[in-house]
Amino acid sequence: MISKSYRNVDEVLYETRLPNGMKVVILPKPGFRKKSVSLMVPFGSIHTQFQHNFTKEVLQFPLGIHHFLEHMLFESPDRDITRKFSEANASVNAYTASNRTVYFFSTTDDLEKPLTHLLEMVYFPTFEDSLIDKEQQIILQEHQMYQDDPDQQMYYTFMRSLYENHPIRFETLGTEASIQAINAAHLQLAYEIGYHPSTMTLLVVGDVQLDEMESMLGGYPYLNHIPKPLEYTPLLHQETVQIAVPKQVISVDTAIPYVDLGWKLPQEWLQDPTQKAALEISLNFLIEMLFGRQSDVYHKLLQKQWMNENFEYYVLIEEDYGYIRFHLETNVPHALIQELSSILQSIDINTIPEKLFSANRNRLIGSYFRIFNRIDSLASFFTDVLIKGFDVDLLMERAVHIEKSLFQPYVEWLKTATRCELIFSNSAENKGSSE
Amino acid sequence: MLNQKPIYFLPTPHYKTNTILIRFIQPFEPKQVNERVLLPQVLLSGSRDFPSKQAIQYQSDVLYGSDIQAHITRVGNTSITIFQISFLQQRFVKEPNFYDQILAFLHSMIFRPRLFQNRLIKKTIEQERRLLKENLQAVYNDKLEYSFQRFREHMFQNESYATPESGVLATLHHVSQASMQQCYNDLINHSFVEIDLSGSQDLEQWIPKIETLFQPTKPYVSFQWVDREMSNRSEVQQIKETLPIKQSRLYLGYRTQTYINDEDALALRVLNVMLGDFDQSFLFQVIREQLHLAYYVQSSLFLGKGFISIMAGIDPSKAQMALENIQAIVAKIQSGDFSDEDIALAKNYLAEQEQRAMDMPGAQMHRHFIHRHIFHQPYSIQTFFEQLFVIHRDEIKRVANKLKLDTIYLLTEDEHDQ
Repeated sequence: MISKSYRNVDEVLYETRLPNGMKVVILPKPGFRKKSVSLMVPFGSIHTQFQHNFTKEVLQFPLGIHHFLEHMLFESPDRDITRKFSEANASVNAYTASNRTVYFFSTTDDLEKPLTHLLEMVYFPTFEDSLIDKEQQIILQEHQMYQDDPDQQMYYTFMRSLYENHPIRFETLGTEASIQAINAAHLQLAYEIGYHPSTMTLLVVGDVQLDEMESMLGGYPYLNHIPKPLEYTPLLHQETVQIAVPKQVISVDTAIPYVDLGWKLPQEWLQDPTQKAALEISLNFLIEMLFGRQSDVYHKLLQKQWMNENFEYYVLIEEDYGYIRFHLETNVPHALIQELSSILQSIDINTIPEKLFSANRNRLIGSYFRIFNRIDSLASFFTDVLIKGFDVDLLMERAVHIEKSLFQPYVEWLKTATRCELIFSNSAENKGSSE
Repeated sequence: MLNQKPIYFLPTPHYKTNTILIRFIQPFEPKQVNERVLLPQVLLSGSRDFPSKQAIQYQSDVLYGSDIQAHITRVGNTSITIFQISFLQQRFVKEPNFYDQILAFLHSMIFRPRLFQNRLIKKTIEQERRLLKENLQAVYNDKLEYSFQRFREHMFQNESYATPESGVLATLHHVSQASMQQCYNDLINHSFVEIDLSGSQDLEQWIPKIETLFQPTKPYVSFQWVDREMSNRSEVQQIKETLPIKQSRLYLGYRTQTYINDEDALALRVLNVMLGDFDQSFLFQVIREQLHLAYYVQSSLFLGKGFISIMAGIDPSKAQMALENIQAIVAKIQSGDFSDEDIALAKNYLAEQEQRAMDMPGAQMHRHFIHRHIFHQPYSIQTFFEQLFVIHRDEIKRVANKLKLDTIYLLTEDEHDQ
């Protein structure tokens, strides 16, 4: 095993690759009772097209197949998978995101039994028609639940407004029609192509012994079996520069109107993981200083009653897309957009006092330490970092050495880049009162 | 132990941070509910030393993201205002007087409020009132929270429990500068103050200083940790409300007639898990896995008030079917129709949750707190296991038969949408 130490946070990480190509990452956390194991598959809702490495043939998957597959891996005709975990004092779950599907369990008991169940459910799935029909109904219920959630609706409307082609536009669950159309053949093919062992990572976080983990993993013959080579690669997507729907007002049943502002990051900023990691830190830092809870802008808008404290921003940088999203609650959506627009025009990085700059840097450093307080937050942090190929030490170093001069190109870009403006509003007053 | 001050230390050296948590404990007072929700927010909007939210944010950023959090909770008929700060352990920071700065910061927020003519600032109160109002309005957007709130208002309509501890929109305009000042004075002068610390061993030597600054005090009254108020209902109340929604939310509210400090409380916890609190429960297995009626279905137990709520998100056309099946499951358990394996799985699940809580200082502090005040004995996970694993199936059947269906609440789509 290769070890990597993070001196700044006083932690050591271990890495190895099994004969079948699956990567194993272990972060020992003595003193904690809970142990968490995640199996990550870099197959998420944006991976809708795969290309054969030699023939260049392109396969198109139905929307929602990734999430459907995730549900199906819990289904077996001859054993009750979640019950097996419960009997081993472990609780199992999974989620599908835009760039990955993750299966995970946690326990304070022995790892061996639940680890066997986890590996078996992911390595040996079955797709029986009766089980597919059953799961279809449950997924349709899940889909229906999100229809009543204005936050979810706003997010997907925002994505469709920002992107013209990229499949991030589509809901992870798929559409009602696409969910209903998925069959065993689709699932089998998606599994064969999307779940190649050499692309998977097993992440273990908790109070574990390295030699015990190694001998445990050596006990599964199928992990020593060398699979046939990877034949298909997910196709990256070409996204246009312009915003799909620059301005839009949508009438929905919401207590308080929502405003979203969004920018697509230029493709040339998204070339390699090191560049992306630096970009993610820099943009987050810049926006925090300009609009965050210590900025003048934030407090001015609060005092004017033009927004409330549910203001959020997101900087997301993924494989082949990246965006910035502002999300605000306001009773004066149009005025707020106009105000933000003029604030953006007049940004001057040099007016930010040095002491605010260093305070913000302290906060960022503190936030890295806090991740290590919880097994769950560590597991999700490392899942993200490993999928993106970021280096944790580099993130920390960047945070410590962040400088004002880094920001000028981003400021210039923010001033001129086209953006998307989306309003969710409801003309009816006083919704949500209990009378 | 007689003269010992109520200040407690829990070593958690494997953490990167320390936590100081201060509880101000008072009897629940429905008339003061909005003031109590607002008070911590007003205090965290400015003190004499850090006069604005922006100044406070700056200070917490300088201290490596040591945010002060404050909120109010309710246990039985007792309300607890909690202030807490979590901060990096000394070994990770260069500043030698780091803990001093942390203590001064927290102390300032609670004990040195910004005043004008001996009163909390009117403008700050107005601002926090506006923010609370918008947050209460926004509950409407979260249909799960909204439907639970409506269900609660109906089931407990003649009881103080109908008043949500998160604030009441209808009476928010009654809040005044005078009522806020009264609320602050009550908090500082008439509540019982208790302090929990967790973190690295070096924190222990700070206890005398923390005592001097925050002055923990013994209670002057005995608190009611259980709310036994129960209005008489001769038959099951059935309520249906409509909204433009796609998925219906169904609630069944059962009175348990067992409370947190009763002998059969732990048996009731096992029952609740078996009924619907994990993925091997009867509700999850039957309603979701066999009948495919819902994506989520769950039972939740409220031991301080003595009720179980069963909640399901279902297709509007299947509401009646779900209702009948849920009631059939409860009846099945009441008749004793469950296996030893069902019991074992539920107990193991509770044991596993208890183990996990050992990793979380917040959960540990809460358990110690409950044990001090309600069970009057120190918390120990071993004792918990001993009590859990001797629970007999007859005890579970007995608590199941104390369940009494009180209210059925359905939030569903508008008729004209059908």
